[in-house]
Amino acid sequence: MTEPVLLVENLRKYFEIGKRQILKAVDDVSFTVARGEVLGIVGESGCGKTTLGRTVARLYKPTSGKIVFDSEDTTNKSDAELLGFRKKLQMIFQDPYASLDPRMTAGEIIAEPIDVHTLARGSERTERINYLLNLVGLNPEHANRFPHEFSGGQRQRIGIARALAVDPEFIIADEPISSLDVSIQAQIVNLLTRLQEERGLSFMFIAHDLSMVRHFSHRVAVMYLGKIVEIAPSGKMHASPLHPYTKALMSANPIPDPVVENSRTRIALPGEVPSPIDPPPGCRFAERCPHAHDRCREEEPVLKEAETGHRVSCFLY
Amino acid sequence: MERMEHTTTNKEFNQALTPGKPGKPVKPAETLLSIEDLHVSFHTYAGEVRAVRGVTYSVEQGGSLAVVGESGCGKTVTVQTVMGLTPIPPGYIKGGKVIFNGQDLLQLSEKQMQSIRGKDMGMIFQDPMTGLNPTMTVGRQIAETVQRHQNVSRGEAMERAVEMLSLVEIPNPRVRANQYPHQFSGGMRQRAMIAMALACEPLLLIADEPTTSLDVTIQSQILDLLQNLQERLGMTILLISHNLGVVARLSKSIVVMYAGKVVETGSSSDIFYNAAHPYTRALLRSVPRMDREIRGELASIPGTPPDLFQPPEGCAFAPRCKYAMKVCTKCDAQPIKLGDNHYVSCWLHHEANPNNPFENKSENGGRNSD
Ligand SMILES: Nc1ncnc2c1ncn2[C@@H]1O[C@H](COP(=O)(O)OP(=O)(O)O)[C@@H](O)[C@H]1O
Ligand SMILES: Nc1ncnc2c1ncn2[C@@H]1O[C@H](COP(=O)(O)OP(=O)(O)O)[C@@H](O)[C@H]1O
Ligand code: SF4
Ligand SMILES: [Mg+2]
Ligand SMILES: [Mg+2]
Repeated sequence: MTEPVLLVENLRKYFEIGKRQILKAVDDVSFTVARGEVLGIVGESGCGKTTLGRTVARLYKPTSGKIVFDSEDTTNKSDAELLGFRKKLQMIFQDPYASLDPRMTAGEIIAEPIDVHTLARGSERTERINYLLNLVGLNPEHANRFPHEFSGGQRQRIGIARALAVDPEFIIADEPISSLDVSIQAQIVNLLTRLQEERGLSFMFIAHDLSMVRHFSHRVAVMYLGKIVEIAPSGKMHASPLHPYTKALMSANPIPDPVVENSRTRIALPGEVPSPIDPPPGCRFAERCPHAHDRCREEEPVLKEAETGHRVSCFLY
Repeated sequence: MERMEHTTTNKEFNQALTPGKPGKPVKPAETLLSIEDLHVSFHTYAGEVRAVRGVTYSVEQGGSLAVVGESGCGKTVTVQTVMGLTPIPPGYIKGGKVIFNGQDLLQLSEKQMQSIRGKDMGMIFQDPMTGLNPTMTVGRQIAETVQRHQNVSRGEAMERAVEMLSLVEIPNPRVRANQYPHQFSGGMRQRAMIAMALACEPLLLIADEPTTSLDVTIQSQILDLLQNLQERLGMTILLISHNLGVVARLSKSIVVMYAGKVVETGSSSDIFYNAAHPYTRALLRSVPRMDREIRGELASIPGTPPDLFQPPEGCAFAPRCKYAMKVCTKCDAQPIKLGDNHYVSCWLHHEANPNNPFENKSENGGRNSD
């Protein structure tokens, strides 16, 4: 197998909050992303998806662990040293309203990374902006308009155009469709799929909509309280999930088909996700897990291969 | 695959529902709520926003009806008007009727509406904080709602509040009753709001995107709760949701709205397996399914919904519709009956149209496949 474009090993990102309390937002996470692969990251709010994405993108400094991107160890690089890395890896954010500067025109927003990386000037720069607008389904007239003049879906297209401006290899998309309407979500996911396939882009696709993740991702990682609890090819994850949390998560996700929906047996999880400040010892899911036994409350399970390409962190396997 | 049985307990329901409690007198009429040709607009600096443009739908006694449609299509304004909560001004009701339990609510004074809100009609919102007072304990708030509508003492009302919190499966209800909303998690707040909405045993529960801000496992808990209330109490639920999965799980009949109008109504199976409006069909096909593997193109709808300052003259969906004909851009289609409770407003189904692309649509075994 060729070398993965991204390798993450034992990554931790802790936040110090209040009086020497530590919040373990991402805690010992390891995975790889192959070139041209889409890795979906799912899990409920607060499980560490955004922190993971931002740490991999080196918007945050890792607490410990290792990030290797394109054979280059970026874990401890300074901002100045990361300039080349930032050209290859771009982010798309959830909220197209908050992530675009309201005082800049769409053209200026898209041009910013072009200028930072001095990729084009003058008429070549204009051409590039127009090309990008077309690429994401907008047109050159849109360049002079401000974010508030666009709909939510159009704003997300501007965010995508900006990310593509530097011709990246890798995109981390953090909930890029969560704030959009259903019919607009489909437009954006279709756009991302087309771009991914045409350009062989690699993705970390962070979302809480399991169906969209299944649709767009080749592989899926499920997070719970700062940890990856299961990682598997998308089809396998959905057809035969192993981790009790993944099973519950899948069964809770409603399917838009009343006959299917009303004949499903659901796993009702008691309680809610505990705080990542003082995570319980042992398996972090134990207090809600229908299969928890003594060992789960004492010892921490590690992610290990249960079937080829399918890793799970649970003592049942 | 190994699966756990459903574990939600229902004993609280039986306890809270003291069998001797007399039900409220309900007119024998089967329809509990009927919205008729409702028009609501807002005056803004930019002009008149025609938010609701002739909406008609009804909810049967004991029924569960869902209203679906994209954001801004008028779902919330419609039910706000039903509750008498539309801010006037800038809003104004241009016409129509809201018949609830035999009377037209639009003819009532604010004072009369106050006695209906919270008593005969309960409402829960997407953001539970908008329905809860942050400066008052949760128990006290529920108790006050009870005291406002029922002739009970402060102590009895508080007892009722604790009973309600346990009905909605909040652990340690007595302790929780003395806490403030900020001490509750999102899921618990939503439960508290349901408890408050149900405290006076309303005839109708209006739930506007009740699970949209919640995580999927918590959403599932709340849907279980609503389903239980429906089955055990015979509660009539009017649900607003943009999540078709949630609607499939909870509702027996469906209203599809687009740009301030109803475009299709029917039973859940009419809508999910026999949708007749191009918008409904496209909407259904634009959501991927967790239980199906298809990478590739999702059926997206090009463009965006129209501006409600200047809604199009004809069918509002025409600019995005791949079947649009000349007539569609000129005049709006009136509801056409397709089945018992199945109506669609679309020219394709007009008897004078010789080429209805969806004819014999039931033959494709359900799932829409145009
Ligand atoms: N900058 C920060 N400072 C302190 N805590 C944070 C910070 N960012 C995130 N957290 C906490 O880390 C945990 C994970 O958050 P996040 O990565 O945003 O999760 P997700 O994206 O899965 O919802 C949460 O408990 C959150 O409150
Ligand atoms: N207070 C208000 N002032 C002006 N316009 C409003 C007001 N409330 C709602 N609207 C407009 O009415 C339309 C319908 O809104 P709403 O019923 O909230 O949509 P939905 O619930 O379907 O998302 C939207 O165009 C919205 O902008
Ligand atoms: S009336 Fe015409 S434009 Fe509207 S949905 Fe039907 S076919 Fe399409
Ligand atoms: Mg996040
Ligand atoms: Mg709404």
